[in-house]
Amino acid sequence: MSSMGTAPAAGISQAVASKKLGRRLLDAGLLIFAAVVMITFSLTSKYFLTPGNWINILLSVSIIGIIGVAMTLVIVSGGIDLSAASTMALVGSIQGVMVMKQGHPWWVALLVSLAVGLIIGLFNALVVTRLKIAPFIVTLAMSNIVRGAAYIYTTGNAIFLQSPRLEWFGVGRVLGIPVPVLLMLGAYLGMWAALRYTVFGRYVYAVGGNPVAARLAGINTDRYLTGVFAFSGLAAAVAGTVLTGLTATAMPSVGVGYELDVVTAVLLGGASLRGGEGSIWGTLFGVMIIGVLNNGMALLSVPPFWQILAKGVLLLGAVSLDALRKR
Amino acid sequence: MPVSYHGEEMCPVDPVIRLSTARISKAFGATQALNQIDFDLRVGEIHALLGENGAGKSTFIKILAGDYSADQGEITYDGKPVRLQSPSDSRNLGIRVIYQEFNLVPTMSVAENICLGSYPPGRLPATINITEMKRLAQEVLGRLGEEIPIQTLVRNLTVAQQQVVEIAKALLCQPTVLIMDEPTSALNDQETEHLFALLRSLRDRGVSIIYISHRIDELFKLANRVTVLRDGVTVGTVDIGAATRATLVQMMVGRELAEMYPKRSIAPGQVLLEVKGLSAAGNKVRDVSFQVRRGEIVAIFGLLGAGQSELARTLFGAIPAASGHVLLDGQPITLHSTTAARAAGIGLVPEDRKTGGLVGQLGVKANLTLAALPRYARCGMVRTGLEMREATEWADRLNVKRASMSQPIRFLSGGNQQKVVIARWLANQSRVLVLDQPTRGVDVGAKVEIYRLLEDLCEQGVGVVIISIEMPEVLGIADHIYVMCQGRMVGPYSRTEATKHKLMSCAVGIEGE
Repeated sequence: MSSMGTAPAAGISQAVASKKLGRRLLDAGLLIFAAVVMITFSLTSKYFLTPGNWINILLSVSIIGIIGVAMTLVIVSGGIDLSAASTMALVGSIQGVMVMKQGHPWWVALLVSLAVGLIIGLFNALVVTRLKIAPFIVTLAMSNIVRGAAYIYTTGNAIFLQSPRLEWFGVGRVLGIPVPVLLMLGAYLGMWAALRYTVFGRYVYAVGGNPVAARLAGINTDRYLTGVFAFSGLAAAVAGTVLTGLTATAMPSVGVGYELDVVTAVLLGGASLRGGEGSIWGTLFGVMIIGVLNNGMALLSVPPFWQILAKGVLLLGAVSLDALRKR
Repeated sequence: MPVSYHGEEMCPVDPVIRLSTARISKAFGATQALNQIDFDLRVGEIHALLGENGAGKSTFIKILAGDYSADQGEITYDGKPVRLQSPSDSRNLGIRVIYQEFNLVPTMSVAENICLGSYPPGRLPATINITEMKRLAQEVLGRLGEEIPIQTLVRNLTVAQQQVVEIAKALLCQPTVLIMDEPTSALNDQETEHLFALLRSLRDRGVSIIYISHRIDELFKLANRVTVLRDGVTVGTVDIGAATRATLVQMMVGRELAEMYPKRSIAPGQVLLEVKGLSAAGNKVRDVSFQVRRGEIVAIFGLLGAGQSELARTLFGAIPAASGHVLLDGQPITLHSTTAARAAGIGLVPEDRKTGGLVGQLGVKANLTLAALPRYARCGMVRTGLEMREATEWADRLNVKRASMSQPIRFLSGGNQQKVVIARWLANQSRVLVLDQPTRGVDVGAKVEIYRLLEDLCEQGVGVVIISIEMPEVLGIADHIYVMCQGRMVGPYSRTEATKHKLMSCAVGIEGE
């Protein structure tokens, strides 16, 4: 009996301690991973650490960064929005066609396209809340519907956009800082405040954490979900405007797979697909990791097929991280 | 029970020790859940484990089950030291645990569930011998003297039947030690008696049973010995013959328990809530009428599933009403949503804290202010200072034991969690509070605190509706009692005219009007 007393007990408490350490390492692991990526790229590419390249990185993450703000909200609410990238493409297409083919003023095109993004979000919300279908399926279907609509609307052709006003959203600068970067940082600040200081933000956490308990506390859960998806549609439209401006092109095929980059970023940032957890600064961190990785792989001329594979691995890693944190 | 056994002819309880623990300790972070637990279990005895929520019972059985490993201490099985590092270590020794939440697959048949995890192999590789599986299931149910059709899907069974399936599943592997965690919390009296008879017959066949319960009274009918835990420490082990209700309660709470139920002397005021002919969608609530006065506690008694929870949810707008009227202060109100109910001044403490009451990821403060949050906001912006002050005040007033206001709610004990859910509605200044089995899974100490709290609310003119399946509670605290049976309601009976017999007759539908 006494043989079991001390030695194995020490082993057990060591095991407990190492488990805790492991969890901490898991979080630190992300930072280490980011550092390793940075060092590797800066050693292997002489362009990586140049200021010009960093503006490139910030600019390139501004698209998934802006969608990431909304995706964080959606994932905290317990859902997911896979239609964001397609919405972006449709929004750009609408702007291109309306301005270049139909001769509408730029602001009409902008308002209409933003409204379309909002309506897509509202439609997602309607199906999710009324028919109680999982957001994953609803927005997956919606993604194809919207993408198809973009192709039909543009007859599949890219349109060169010649509208300095609209392009300003992509290439303009204020005080030397690119407009997309400003939009993105503004969105993060705004969402941070909204999640932390508003009734809306708190209730989105509650609805995502336990929808039944939220409802039984008198919260109109459908209303909050509607707000969440509508915001997501709108944010995708803003991202679409930025993207169209950046490239001065409206392309119905643009941004395929972006939504998965965004989901990866949000999960890397500590949100849980089960809802009720996530932080906006975590997402920004995740977005930066993705941006640096994309940028670095491009600089190193990693073949595109390998880039796709690498991002798949990263998404799987992010999901595993979410699962491991729950252990 | 067709099991033929005559207690008098059996030999007395065998004094051989089957399982024992010495100096078992376990800490979670800064919390010492178990501190030097000594415990022994004899062959063929029912050993009750008693203690308030948070006393360490669950942690202790999880260690025996191999779910957790102890930080220190030793476990001995049949005189030999053993290490329980994983659930399979524990299973291999013949230790089986039946948790409060069943581990059954609702969409599979009784036979498939009983044999789950040990399906008899068929002739071809990776196949199941279905005939043999059915035979095994039938055989083990026969040993229990139970007649449940083995082809029935588990989701179509009553809770009591599901529990029998759980027991059958555990017995399939001829366990030597059976651990049951609060098995009677969802059973009515008759089903409880049935379960006890079953456990006694298992005991008499040499199975050692650890039985965890909050209900002291039932231990006298069942247990041989009782071990009381308090704050992670063994207070003592006594033969049931040497124990009284009072001594056990005192061991549990570590202090003399004053009157369990408060003696109230508040004259109820005007009618506050009036329900007329209310029926709910789904036919679980039919033509229910009752009224609640200011400062009155109205209890709704009934067997589990008599429609009382559906009534509570209908009153709170979570289930749409099919017909009927609800008047608050004489004014008709429509309860088309939970938001409307909240705005009207109704609060609901749902029957299941974990699934319906709490948002586990959020902290104490956020859970406490979940309903009242708009009150602390201006133009949608939460005034966080005000929220914190109010929440802290409520938590202090209700004596919610917590590490901090931002501590995740899931780390609180059941009683403290329940107090947070109640405080949520107090913070929202609810005028009618509907509590659906508020003391379920709550320890004695917290129970008394909750009763006192309800009394305070009455003094402030709140109308309280408490749904309960526990007769002593109903008789102890209610001013008026209604009884529900199959969605219909009879009553009211005043506290003085209600008797155990009368209420139970109404509940089983023998007596009405």
